[in-house]
Amino acid sequence: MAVSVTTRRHDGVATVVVAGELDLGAGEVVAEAIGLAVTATGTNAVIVDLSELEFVDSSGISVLLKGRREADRTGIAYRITGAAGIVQQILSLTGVLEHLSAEPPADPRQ
Amino acid sequence: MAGVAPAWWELPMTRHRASEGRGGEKLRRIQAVTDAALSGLQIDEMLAELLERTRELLGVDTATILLVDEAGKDLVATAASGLEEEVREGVRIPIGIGFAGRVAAQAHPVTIDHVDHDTVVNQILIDKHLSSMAGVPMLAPSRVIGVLHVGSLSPRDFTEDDIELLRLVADRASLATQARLSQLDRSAALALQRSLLPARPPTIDRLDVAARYIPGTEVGVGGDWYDLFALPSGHVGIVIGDVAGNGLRAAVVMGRIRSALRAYALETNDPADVLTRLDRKIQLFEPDAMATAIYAVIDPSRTTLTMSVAGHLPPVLLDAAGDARVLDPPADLPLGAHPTATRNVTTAALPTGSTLLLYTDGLIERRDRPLLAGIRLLLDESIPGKAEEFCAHITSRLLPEMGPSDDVAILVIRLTSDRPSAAQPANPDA
Repeated sequence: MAVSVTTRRHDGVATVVVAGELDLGAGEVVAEAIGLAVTATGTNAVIVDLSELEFVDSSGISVLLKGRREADRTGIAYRITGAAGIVQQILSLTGVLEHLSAEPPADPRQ
Repeated sequence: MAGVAPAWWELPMTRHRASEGRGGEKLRRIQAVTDAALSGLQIDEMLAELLERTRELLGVDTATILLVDEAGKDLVATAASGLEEEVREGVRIPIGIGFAGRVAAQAHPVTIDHVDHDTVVNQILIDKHLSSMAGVPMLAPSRVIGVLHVGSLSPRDFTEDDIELLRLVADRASLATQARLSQLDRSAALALQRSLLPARPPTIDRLDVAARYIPGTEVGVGGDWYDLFALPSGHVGIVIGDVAGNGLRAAVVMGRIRSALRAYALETNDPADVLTRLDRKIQLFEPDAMATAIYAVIDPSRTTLTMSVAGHLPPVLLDAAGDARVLDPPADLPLGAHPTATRNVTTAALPTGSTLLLYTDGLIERRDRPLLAGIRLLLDESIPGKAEEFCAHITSRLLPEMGPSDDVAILVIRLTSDRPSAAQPANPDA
């Protein structure tokens, strides 16, 4: 099954909606979308919406983590939302759910 | 065409329905060139053959293929006809610089009508006294994998037909290169993986050990690994890990991580400390790599298990009576995830006769089944007995009949009694 990525921008917040399956084949496309959202001028925050995501594997998790590192380096807020079902289980068991869902720190440059 | 994928030379040329007449004639000649006989050759011989025919057909003096290197930054001259020096001297052109570099960066054909320091960076092209050149990108889905260029000693206008022809040859060369590289990739990865995994786990006092590594059907070899070693202090180090990604890249990164972990394990018996140092090393030297892992240590008296979990699925502990439970330490972040990751240590008692099972997600992960259901199944199928029997049983019950799609590593360690006899039955009262 494929992945589909849509990015919406509103008031400095870029919401990247990832639907379908985020696995090895889908990684590049999603990484690029997140990367673009993080580096676009005028972006203050990036939200990765996983409510339509049905599956994620370790390479998918790697993409989500990379987005967080890039956002930290750029000094903008970043978090995932909407993880449910199998996706939530996987993220929780691999110890990344809290880290990726955390509310942005008061000073993003911390 | 159901069931059998077409060979690369049989693929339809949907993009290149060139006009009939002279163009059509050329196309037929190219098809004759890119035939089955070429597929038996090594990749550079095949490309050289292809280039020679291209030179003849187009009436040019040189034809060269450069391929993008592993890092994705430079073009490396790989095959040439009429400009063999380029290959012999290992010419490297950074993408974006010079003529070939521009073709790769723009992913678009480029022609030049004079060859000097303004238009090219490769001195060999200038020394050859070429007048005109045309280059086209070699494309794979979503990226440029190389450049094909031709050169003429006398000034020459490259027509649309000429460029069309070059694109066709580039397509063929590209498909062949990808197919060949992925074959090489797979067998090299397999060889590397086999050389890195222990064929048989080491014999360690009081430990009955069994292990498996099974490459996935979908992804071939990957970055899964297990490790087991006795430390000079008398402690025993136990590792299970999973590098994200697949193929040669993941296997190579895995090799470095495994090696580094062993080095850190020699310096400290604290699993969290070992994984923290390992994490720091990975973040610095393998910037985009990510791996999950568990590092566990059994103490010299063989009564306690101490472990640190980096985003990896929890181990199963089976007691001598046959009750299985998940050791559920809080999972810290995977290795390579974030610079501020903090790591914890969990301790569990290890009674004689108990069995520890470590595994990678390929064993239980299914697209249509929640992970927790897979873990539940693992617990149900955990039966007491010798390590090898346990391992064989788990493997046969958990893996799909067709083999796992993702690769799988399993490590089973049973703590036997301290009676000196080697061949004793599993006796929970011992």
